[in-house]
Amino acid sequence: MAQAPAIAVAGLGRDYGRVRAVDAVDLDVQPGEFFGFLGPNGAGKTTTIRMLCTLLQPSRGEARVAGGDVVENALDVRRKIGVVFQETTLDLDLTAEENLRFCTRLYGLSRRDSKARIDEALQLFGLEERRHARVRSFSGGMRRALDLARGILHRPSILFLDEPTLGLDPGQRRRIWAFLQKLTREHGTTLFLTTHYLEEADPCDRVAIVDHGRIVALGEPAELKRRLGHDRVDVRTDRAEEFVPRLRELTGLEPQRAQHGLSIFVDDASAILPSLLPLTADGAEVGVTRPTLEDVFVDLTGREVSL
Amino acid sequence: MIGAIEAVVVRELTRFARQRGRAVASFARPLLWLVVIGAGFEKLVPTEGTVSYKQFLLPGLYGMVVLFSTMLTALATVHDREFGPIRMLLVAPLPRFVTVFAKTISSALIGVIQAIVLFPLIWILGLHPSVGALAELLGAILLGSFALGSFGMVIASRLRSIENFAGIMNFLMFPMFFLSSALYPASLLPGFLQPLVRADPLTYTIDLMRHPLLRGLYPGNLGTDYTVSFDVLVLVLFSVVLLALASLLFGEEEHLGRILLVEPPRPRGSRRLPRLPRRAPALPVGDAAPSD
Ligand SMILES: Nc1ncnc2c1ncn2[C@@H]1O[C@H](COP(=O)(O)OP(=O)(O)OP(=O)(O)O)[C@@H](O)[C@H]1O
Ligand SMILES: [Mg+2]
Repeated sequence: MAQAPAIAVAGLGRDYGRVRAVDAVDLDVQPGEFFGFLGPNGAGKTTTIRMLCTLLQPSRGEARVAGGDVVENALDVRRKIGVVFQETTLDLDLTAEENLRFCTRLYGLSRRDSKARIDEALQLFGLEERRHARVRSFSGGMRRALDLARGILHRPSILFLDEPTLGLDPGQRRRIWAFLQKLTREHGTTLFLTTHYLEEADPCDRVAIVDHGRIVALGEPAELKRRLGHDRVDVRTDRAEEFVPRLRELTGLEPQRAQHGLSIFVDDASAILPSLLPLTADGAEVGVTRPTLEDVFVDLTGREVSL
Repeated sequence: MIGAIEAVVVRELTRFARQRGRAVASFARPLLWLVVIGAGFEKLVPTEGTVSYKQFLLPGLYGMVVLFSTMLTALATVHDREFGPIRMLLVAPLPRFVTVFAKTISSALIGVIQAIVLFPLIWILGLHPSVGALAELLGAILLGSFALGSFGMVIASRLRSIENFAGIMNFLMFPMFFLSSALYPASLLPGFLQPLVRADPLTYTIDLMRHPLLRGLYPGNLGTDYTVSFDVLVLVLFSVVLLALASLLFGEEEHLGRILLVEPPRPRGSRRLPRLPRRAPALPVGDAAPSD
C-alpha cells in the first residue's frame, strides 16, 4: 500500500493532570480500513479518539488524520472526519429532522443538498416516520441510529465511532454493524471504532488492543487469535480447584480459570481430547472452542470484559 | 459560515420557543418588580416634572429581562455539554470564534424577543415614543443584549457545571442589576461603588434605553447619566473585548477537555473496573505456582 495512511499516529499521549490517560500510541490506519480499537474501561480509548478528532490537545507525540496534523490543521481535519461520540450529541428538544439539519448547515451544505441528504439518511435508518418527532421520545436504539446518521451526513472520508453499539439490543447492534461494513465496502470510508463487544470486532480488518494507554497487541483478528494457540478446550465444572492438578497431570499444560470452570489452550484439541475422557466420568463437561477475540483480550489485559 | 451561524441561531430560537416555562418566568419576574418595587419607591421618590418613578424604572426592567435572558442562554452552553449538542459544534469545521459569536448573537436575539413581549408596558405607563424612538430602543436592547451575551459567554467558558447557576445569580447578576442604575440614577450611588457602576455593561445598556423612552421628559432628579454616543461606544467596546476573550477561552483546548468534554457523571462505582497491574498473567489456579 503506497497510499498515505488515513490516520498516522506516533508516540501520541495525553495526561489529565497527573493521570496518564494515554501513554504512547503508535499506529497507522490505511484508507478504507475498518479498524477496531479495543480495551477495558479507562484504557484511554475515548481520550485517543478525542485527540484524533482535534478536540483534545495531545500532551506528546503527533497524529495526522486525513493528511492534516490534528493540532496545526485542525479545521482541515474536522472537515474530513465524522465523529459519533460515546454519548449522544443530539438535542433532545429538537426533532430528528431539525437535528440533522442543524448538522448539515454546520458543514456548509446548501439548503437543497441538505434536504436531499436528510431524506436519504432518515430513510436509510428507517426513521422517516419519526421525522417530526422530538428526539426525547426516541428509544436508545433510535437515538443511536440518528447519531450515526448525523455522523455521516457530510460524507466524511474517515469516521470515528466511540462504542457505537453500547446499550443496544443484539438486533440493533447487527444492523449498525451491517451498515458500517457497507459503508467501508461501498464508499471506501475509513472506520476507526472502539467497542466493548469483542465478538463484534471480528469483521474489523485489524484491531488494536489497548491497556493502560498503550497498544498491547495489533493485528488482524484471526492472527491475534492464532497467537493464543489454535483451540481452547473448556472443562465445564463447578469444582475447578479439584480438577486443576488432574488436568495438569493429564495434559502437561497449565489450566486457566474461566467463568465456566477451566480452559486450556492447545494447538490441536483432538490430540488431547481422548486423554480428558476420564474427567467426564467425574461430572465435568469437556468442549472445544476456537479462541475468540475475548480470549485474546483477557490473555493480554488480564481482565474479563464486563459491562 | 453564515449557514452555520444561522443554524445555531435557529436551534437556540427553536429551543427557546419550546421552553414555555422559561418565557413565562422571564416576564413574570420584571412585572413583579414593577408592581412591588415601582409602587413602593414611587412613594419615596419625589417625582417632579413629568417622569414617574415607574416610567423611570421601565428601562431598568428591560435591562433585567435582557440580563437574565442572555446570561441564561449563554450559561446553557455549559448545560449543553451534559447532553452533548455542543460536541456537534466542536467537531464541525468552524473556527471557535464563529461558534462563540453564533452563541452570543442567539442569546442577544432571545433577549430582544423577551423585551419586546413587555413593550406594551410603554403605553400602559403613559409614554408615547415616536417610531424612531422605538427603533432606537430596539437597537439599544440588541446592542446591550449582545454585550451582556458576550459577558455570559466569558462566564460560561470558565464554568464547570450549571449547578453554579444560583451562585452566579446571587453574586454576579443581582449585584450587576443593583449597580446598574436600573432602580436609581447611577450618580446617587456612593463614590466607592462608582468604579463598579462604570464596569457594569448593564449600566450603559439601561442608560441607552432610557434615552429614547424618556427623551424630552427629564425632570431634575430622574434621567440619564451618559450621552448616547458614549453608551454605544462603551457597549461596542465591551462586546468586542468580551467576545474575543470568550473565543480565546473556549478555544483553549486544555480547558475544553476539562469543561466541555468531561463525560457526564457516571453512577458512582459502576462500570469502572479496578485497575490490575500491567499484563497480569492469566490467573493461576489453585495454590500451585505457574509451572513453565
Ligand atoms: N476529563 C478527564 N479528567 C481527568 N481524567 C480523565 C478525564 N477523562 C478521562 N480521564 C482518565 O483517563 C483515563 C482514560 O480514560 P478514557 O475515557 O480515555 O478511557 P476509555 O478507554 O474510553 O474508557 P471507557 O471504556 O470507560 O469509555 C481514565 O483513567 C480516566 O479516568
Ligand atoms: Mg470511552
